[in-house]
Amino acid sequence: MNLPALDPYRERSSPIHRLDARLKLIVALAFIVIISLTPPGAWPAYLLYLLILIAIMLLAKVTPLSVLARSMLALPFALLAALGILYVREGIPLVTVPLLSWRITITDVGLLRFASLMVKAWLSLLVSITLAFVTPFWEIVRAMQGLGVPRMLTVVILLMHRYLGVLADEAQRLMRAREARSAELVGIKSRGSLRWRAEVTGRMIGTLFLRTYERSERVYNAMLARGFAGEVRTLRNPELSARDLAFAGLVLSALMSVVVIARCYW
Amino acid sequence: MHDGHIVELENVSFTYPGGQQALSNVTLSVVTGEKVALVGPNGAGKSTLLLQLNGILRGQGKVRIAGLELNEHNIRIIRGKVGLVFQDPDDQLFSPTVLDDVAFGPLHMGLPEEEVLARSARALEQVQMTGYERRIPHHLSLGEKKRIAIATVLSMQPDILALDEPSAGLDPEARQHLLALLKSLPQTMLIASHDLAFVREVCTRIVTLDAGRITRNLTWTGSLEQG
Repeated sequence: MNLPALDPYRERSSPIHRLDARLKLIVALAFIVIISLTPPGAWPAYLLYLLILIAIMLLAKVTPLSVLARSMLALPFALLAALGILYVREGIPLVTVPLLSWRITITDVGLLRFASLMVKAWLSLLVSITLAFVTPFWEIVRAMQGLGVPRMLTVVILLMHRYLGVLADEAQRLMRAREARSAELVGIKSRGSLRWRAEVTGRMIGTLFLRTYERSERVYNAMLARGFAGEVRTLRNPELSARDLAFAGLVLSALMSVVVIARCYW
Repeated sequence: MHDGHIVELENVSFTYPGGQQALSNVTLSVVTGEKVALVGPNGAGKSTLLLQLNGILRGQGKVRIAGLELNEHNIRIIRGKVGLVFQDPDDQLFSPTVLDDVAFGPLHMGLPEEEVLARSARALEQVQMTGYERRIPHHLSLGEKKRIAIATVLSMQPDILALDEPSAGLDPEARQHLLALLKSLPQTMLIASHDLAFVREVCTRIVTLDAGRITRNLTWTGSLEQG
């Protein structure tokens, strides 16, 4: 199991990849806030957001379809959260659905809000997935640090990310060792009781925890050996270039104008 | 420092908190530039001995590095002089990228950033890993990880390298690479290893440990002589 392979980031040479991670993070967060500020039913605005996003993807040499495929994985969660919105009293009733002992009436206002929320949630997902496609995970965390997130928190996240794969490999080795010895003789059923299998699994989790604990000691020793004395120091983030700032400003102003127009006219 | 001895251990004993005696009355001196192999069975105390050199573990007896006696006061100065390379590079490489890891030592020694970057570049060049700065340790081969682990201490410009099982798990080509690298480095070295063929190529002296005691101390000059 190669967990970091789940990371969608691929090294590419594009203006978006070269952009400072702090700016990418700010633009992505602002993009999501702007999407949520757009009134329901402002379909042309949603379309414009999608077009801006696709333009950014193409500039970054990312296939929009691969971003789309990933967004489908997270969409059901948005659906679940949005269901409640369907139930509003205002507006013209469209259909009435029986649900257990209640009868739920869906109105045109409810349906409009529900559809808008789904589209907005999906657009926000696309924004975050695009960010993950064009920025290595560690750079996103470094950018958070550069924007004022406490260092203790970012260091913990980075260490977790570093050792996730190592631990997953260790767990996989344990499971393989169990598989390899889960043998059976011809004609003898030896599956073991549920209780027994639960015990084996419990011991494996215990072993994994112990190994993790021991590894943390060794990593800490390795840090001490190289002069660590309680305070984590990292290389400084590079200065922001004027070109990067100009690009981020351009994207942000485009997004702002869409939301302002949407709030005033649509 | 007397007689050019850069590492001096005097009656060093160490017992783990569990009560297991790992070292008893170890006395060992290493001359500047010497490359010493520590061999012996599993659990003989080789790794424990290496961890004494910069005070990660501290027992009874005296440890002197470059004439400085290891104590609370100068422990961090000594950690800058002894570059400890751990057996499992996944323990040594804990940073998100290769550059962050190589820069960790010099950064925590309080050097200015330009100096840190210059030293990191030089260290990566020494292990022939220039161009790997932005790579993620998880995506490297074991041979590459081992070389970068060595770079993470070379950037501290230590006088002594203490390596724990450097050749363990390497394929023949990576092993050959590492052999050439260690031979080319000028530092005083202490190498704990089971790979006798490997240490015979690199080292000039072989110290055998068993059950926490030094049992033999041999100089290697083509054949072994009692030293």
